[in-house]
Amino acid sequence: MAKTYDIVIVGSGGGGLTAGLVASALGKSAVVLEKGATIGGTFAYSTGLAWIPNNRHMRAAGIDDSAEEAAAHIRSLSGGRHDEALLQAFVANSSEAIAFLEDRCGIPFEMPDSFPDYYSELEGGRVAGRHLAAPIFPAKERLSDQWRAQLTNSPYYAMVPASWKEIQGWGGFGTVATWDWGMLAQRIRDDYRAFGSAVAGWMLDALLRQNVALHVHADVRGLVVDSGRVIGVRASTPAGEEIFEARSGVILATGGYDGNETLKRRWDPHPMTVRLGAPTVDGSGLVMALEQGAAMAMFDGQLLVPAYNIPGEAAADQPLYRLFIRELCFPGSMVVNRKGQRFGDETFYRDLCHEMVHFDPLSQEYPNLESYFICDQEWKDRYPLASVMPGDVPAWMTSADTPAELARKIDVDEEGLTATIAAFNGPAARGEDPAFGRGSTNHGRNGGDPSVRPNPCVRPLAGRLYAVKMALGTAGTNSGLVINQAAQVMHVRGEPIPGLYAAGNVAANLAEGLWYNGGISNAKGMTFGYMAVRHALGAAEVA
Amino acid sequence: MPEVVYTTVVNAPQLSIWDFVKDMDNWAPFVTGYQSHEVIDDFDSIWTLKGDVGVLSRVVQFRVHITEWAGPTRVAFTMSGINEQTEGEGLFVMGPTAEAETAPVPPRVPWWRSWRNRVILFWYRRSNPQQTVRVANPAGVAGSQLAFTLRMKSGGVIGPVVDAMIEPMLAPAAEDLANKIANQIEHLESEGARAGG
Repeated sequence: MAKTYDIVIVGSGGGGLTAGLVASALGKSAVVLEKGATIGGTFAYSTGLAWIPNNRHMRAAGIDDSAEEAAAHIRSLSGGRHDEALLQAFVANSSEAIAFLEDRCGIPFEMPDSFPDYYSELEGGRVAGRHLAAPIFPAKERLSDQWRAQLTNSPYYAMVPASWKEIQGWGGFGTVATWDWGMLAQRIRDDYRAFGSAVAGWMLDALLRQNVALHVHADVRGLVVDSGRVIGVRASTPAGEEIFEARSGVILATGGYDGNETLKRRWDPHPMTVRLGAPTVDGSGLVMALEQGAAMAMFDGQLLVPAYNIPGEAAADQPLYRLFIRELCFPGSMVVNRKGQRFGDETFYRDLCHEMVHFDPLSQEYPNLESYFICDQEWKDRYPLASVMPGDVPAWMTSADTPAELARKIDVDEEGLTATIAAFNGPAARGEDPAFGRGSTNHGRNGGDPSVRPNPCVRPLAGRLYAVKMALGTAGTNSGLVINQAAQVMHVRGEPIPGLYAAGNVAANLAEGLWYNGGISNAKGMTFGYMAVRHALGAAEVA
Repeated sequence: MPEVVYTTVVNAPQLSIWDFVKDMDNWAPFVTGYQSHEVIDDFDSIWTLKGDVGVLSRVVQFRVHITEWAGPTRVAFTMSGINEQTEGEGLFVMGPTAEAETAPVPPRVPWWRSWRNRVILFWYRRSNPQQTVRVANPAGVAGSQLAFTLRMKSGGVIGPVVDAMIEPMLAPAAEDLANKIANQIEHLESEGARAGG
């Protein structure tokens, strides 16, 4: 016998949890179906940051912003690939969605200081204010043992139960050696969650208070359609095959397909990536919609992020690849290819990734795909690399006294690396990087070491050198379903598929085109989850 | 320093436990996360374990040094991380159960050691409320006790955080090891009894 709800939500990331909260707050019934064993998806793996222009927190802090300026910013940087109606819908509704979650559901957001837009120097950019995060979530205090065991914790951030605001107050990630790790240990014993797991935790807590139905191990296998309208889903659950009927709408919030190697190879120009998100993000929602004739838009593959693996470290039974972003900004470091040559501005990972996937038709190879992070003794003495603290040198980290010796050890061209470091060091003594402009952006400088002047991202490499092999990671996918400004999934013939909505990375990057900023995936998931529910329930029904 | 003690009853003579435990090849695969071990000599070995640290796992190499071979009652060892800043120590204590006290004490156990073991076990129980005991032989056959103690401590700046994350993993690991050893010894004992007719 089918179970019937007003809204049926597939996936428990930021989009799915928001949709459940909004439906419940509007007095309607909702069910969230999660195929994995825990709630949160890639959202809970993430930094938890959401890029929300013109939000009330920045206004309260006296930072001027508007939806129009945010739209102008994205429009000028989208490469002409955005959909204007979706862009307008996003900038008009994102701050409203967050305000709704705060006011109606009790989700506490806060604004970390000093988070520049990636392109803050360009039209409509801001040097701070558009990133929102949540304070740490006291899971043991707020949830039953059963539910806190079912709240996804991030393998990247579980060891740092602190909020963005706190970390910035402590001096940023470059000052980890001075943090109070005894206090953080006590927070771990008390099961405090941070970053994406904190936002997911606050949302899960609210969902339970609002009596939204939540099912883990509920693997949705297909959509139920009647006369062209999506009226529910079929799911495999611990109770067997079940039908969940939706009176008003089905919302796909299943994430991208970054955990599905087959789909990556079929659709993406550079599939050789390692997964950074939740293992359950396998494109299942996307495939279900395609089965009903949904339109798909192809973009530039994946949300590429430099990554590295500490040998022997794993999560979810697979090697754990960590994000390699902030470490690249600290001075006394660079990234080189097999020829020992730099190939991009290391302080802007998007630039680096773009070059890593560059395919050279002359040599028929990816010349920068195999690359190495190189840092010097001072870098090693001052900055952390994940759990490798300043001064610690694990056995897996290759080191040598000279560039040539290091190059031999990592099978990189000796003369190339020696020449690259020599060429870099001259201008670096003046804080300059004429080749690639390290530290030339607000975003890059924000990640650097403010104690190093004049450029917090640049100084010469000296002394013993260290190397870490890099990999190309994917934090999500850019291609996906075509949706309209109400988050309705569009049929390939041009009309919305009645009853079917999509929020988050299951949909294509139509709101932003080729532009990207940290926190946009989380923001889109929550914003379009909010919009989808409101549209599905109908304007007249929305209080 | 995170510490866990687990005691189980083995339905076998103390000497059988000792014979099993004294050869680490017998029980090494029972260690949670066991990958491999290499015996260097009677006192030293290199172990490779895959250990959980919260939601992630790491492969850790330890140098294990036996600090006390005191058959048939005690084996003590230290663990020193090779690729991680983790130190630890472990202790197996074998002794008679309360039910077994009426049975003849194995001749090679000095009286003072037997009493010392009982005192140690008493304090283990007092100091560790999480201590659990495997279900004793339903037939009520007198057996022996096997207590396993494990202490771990992580070094470096983030040592407190690593310790906090591995604490919840220690008790299940100690319990699992002790119970698997007990089950295997009982299996071998029953096989031996059948073979003996």
